[in-house]
Amino acid sequence: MRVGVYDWFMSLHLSLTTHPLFRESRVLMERVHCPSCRVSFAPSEVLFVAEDARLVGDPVAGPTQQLRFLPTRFDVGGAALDPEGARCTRVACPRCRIEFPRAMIELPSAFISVVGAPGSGKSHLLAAMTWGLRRERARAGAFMVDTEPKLNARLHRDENILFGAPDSNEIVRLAKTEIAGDALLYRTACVKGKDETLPLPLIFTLHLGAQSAEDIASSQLDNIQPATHGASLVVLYDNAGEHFLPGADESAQPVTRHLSQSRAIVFVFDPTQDPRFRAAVGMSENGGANIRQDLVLTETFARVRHHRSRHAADSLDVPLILVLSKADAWSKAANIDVSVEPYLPSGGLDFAALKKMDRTLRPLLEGACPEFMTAVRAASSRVLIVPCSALGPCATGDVGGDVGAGVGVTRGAGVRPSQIRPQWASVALLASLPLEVDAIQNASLWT
Amino acid sequence: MIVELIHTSLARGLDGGSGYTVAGRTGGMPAAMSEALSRLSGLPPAWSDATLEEKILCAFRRVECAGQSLSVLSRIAPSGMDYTGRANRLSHHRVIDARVMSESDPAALLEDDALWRQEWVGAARELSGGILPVRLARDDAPLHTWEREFGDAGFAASVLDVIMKSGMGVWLVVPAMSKRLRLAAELMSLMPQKQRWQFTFATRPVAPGSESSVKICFVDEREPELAAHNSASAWIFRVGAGALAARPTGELAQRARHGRDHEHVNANQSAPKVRENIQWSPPTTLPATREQDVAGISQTSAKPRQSIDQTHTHTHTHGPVVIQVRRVAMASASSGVWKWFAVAFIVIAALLWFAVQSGGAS
Ligand SMILES: Nc1nc2c(ncn2[C@@H]2O[C@H](COP(=O)(O)OP(=O)(O)OP(=O)(O)O)[C@@H](O)[C@H]2O)c(=O)[nH]1
Ligand SMILES: [Mg+2]
Ligand SMILES: [Zn+2]
Repeated sequence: MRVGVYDWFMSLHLSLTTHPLFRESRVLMERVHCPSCRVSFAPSEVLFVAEDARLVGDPVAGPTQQLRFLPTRFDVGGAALDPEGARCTRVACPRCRIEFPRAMIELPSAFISVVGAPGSGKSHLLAAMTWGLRRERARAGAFMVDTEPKLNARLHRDENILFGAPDSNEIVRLAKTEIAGDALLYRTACVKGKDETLPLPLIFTLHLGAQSAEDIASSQLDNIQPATHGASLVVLYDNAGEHFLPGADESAQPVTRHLSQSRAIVFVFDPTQDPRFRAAVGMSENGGANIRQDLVLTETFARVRHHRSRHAADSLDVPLILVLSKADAWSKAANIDVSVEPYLPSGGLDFAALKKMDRTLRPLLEGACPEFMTAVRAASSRVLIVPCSALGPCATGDVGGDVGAGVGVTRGAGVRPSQIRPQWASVALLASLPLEVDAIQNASLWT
Repeated sequence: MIVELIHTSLARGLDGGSGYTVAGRTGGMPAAMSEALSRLSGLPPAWSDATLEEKILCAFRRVECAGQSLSVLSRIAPSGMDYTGRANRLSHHRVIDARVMSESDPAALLEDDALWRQEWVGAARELSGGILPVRLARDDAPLHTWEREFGDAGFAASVLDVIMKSGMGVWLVVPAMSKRLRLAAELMSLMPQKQRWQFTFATRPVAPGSESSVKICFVDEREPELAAHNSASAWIFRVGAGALAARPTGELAQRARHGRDHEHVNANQSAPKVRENIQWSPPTTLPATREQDVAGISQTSAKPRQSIDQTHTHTHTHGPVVIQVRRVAMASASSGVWKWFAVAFIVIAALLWFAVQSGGAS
């Protein structure tokens, strides 16, 4: 008799503890920042996206979008039910109603803005750095996966073009980033009766430590604890360079508002678009296709100050990772070796190598582009300079582009996927990640 | 007077910036208008093997600018390489005034390649005005392109009907390699000239509901953006399915098939009216939560809504949607309150059962 009761109790206990009702409640973030419109809100304010096919049309998100609603009914698993009773798990911002990954309310997010003049190499760099961190788990000591693949569709498009067919000899090129009208880049929302064009972010889940992807896949996603597993989200933005030009920030197109929340700013400086740098390293003239990149940097940090309501004289401590792009075109002339990547044998960034590179590049820039370095110094008190080549040394030479012609390195020529070997591409992203930023701080690398 | 703007990628634009920038515009154009037109300049990415011709976006749109509504014709087309060696596009916009509207029609103007810049040569500069020539589509010809693409030109009449009934604009999926601008021009020829300027359209996808949205987009079946939407979406139409399933029989459909010349032939036949059995209605209606579904919530003030299945029999209200929500003060299944109820209940039940059992044993 007693044994029967005990068994019954145990089986009851077991079925209860595994039942969704009694599962450990999820740890939620206290406040969430919308990755598109930057507004901050509590997780309880998050809207759900209706799943029922009949609930199309939302007054803010647009007539083609599924309805967004504040749920009043849930099923036992905690999923919201839409007015038609369908289970809903997708969530959207209460202000702009643009969908974002649900993981944003469960894991801390680091916003990283990639900034630079038109044609400086932002899109190539992003594709190469994310591709690198998807693959080089052991070397980088970290890896990333798409938080919600559907929302990163446009990055997949670029990655596929450059890395999708590694044996292909067919010449490919990435398109210039459109300033509007590309549905994979922007979304229009009617906020308070006014149309706003907002950027769609690229969101990744970052796992620090060389834990294997299989471990992550086999562990129940529900059970991942941010603190113990070292997972966090990385939110990246690829703007068109035009958006950073002075005077381009408009209320109808607040596409660079993400600068206000950035954990770090990755500024892509294209040395081949700077006439004096070209002259300093002995490259030929490029026909005057130059841009005042110092103004782009100054404008960027003016916006950061403005969005953060900081005094104009304040030096900001937003870490600035200065990426000198297209290293394949100028590194040889400048006597810089980028063939060895700055990683430790055991995995992770090699700070000593980073520091050495930073120390080599600084005088080069100070000599060639003093006005740019002045802008850098005024912008941020924490700067790290790294070189990078998204395409690699073989990508230029024999596709008919004239090496040393700078912006015209691959002028009209494109690149063969079989020859793409990115160098130092993931370094900038790794260095700007939250933990690394602090580690670099301790290694007194920032100058 | 022609008011126009050209937007393309240049090393140095009219306003100083580089990259996609204003290359040319009519002198004296207000800054707000220049910005509004610049915002219309994007070219959506096409499918991977699209030809140059297929990538072109021709559109007639209406945009708000400083409290004024502008009628804008645009031709946005790929245009060689820019100064960085990347594919460039050139957007040419014209703001249309009342005089042009009274004598031309939008599709016919767009069809005349001579009126639209294909490339930009030289530095950015201001443009002088000029007069736009008259271009008007014939309204007495049968719609050959519709006939070729859809097997029956009469479908143009059904499409027109669908557009008129839509509150937010429609996408018409057209077969690969269709002449989309021609389809638009032929569709316009079914309307009186004045009405043609009410009829905004685009030959590549433009998101419905955005500031530059149009009444109809002719969308190639290979467009990548089409794949991003549920094919059952209420604003996406295909000839031969849904509202465009049956061949139309109305007078307009006859005109589409045979042109105006044939009207007298049918005059003494009793020409059937435009089909009335189109069963599509705009989808922007938010149903209020059904009371009986809301377990555990006391009576809400929301009335039970009509079943969606009957939408074609009742009229929809188009006003702003009101979301009526009552939050159940966080007492959802995911919060912890239920646990304690359940545990207490189980403990009591177990004690009772135990008491009964031991009572019976003694
Ligand atoms: N040699 C060389 N060329 C590069 C590299 N990365 C980019 N480029 C070239 O630089 C040009 C601009 O690259 P993008 O990545 O499109 O530049 P972007 O900063 O995204 O430009 P916008 O989208 O206009 O803002 C392209 O023609 C590329 O071929 C590189 O690592 N090496
Ligand atoms: Mg780009
Ligand atoms: Zn938002």
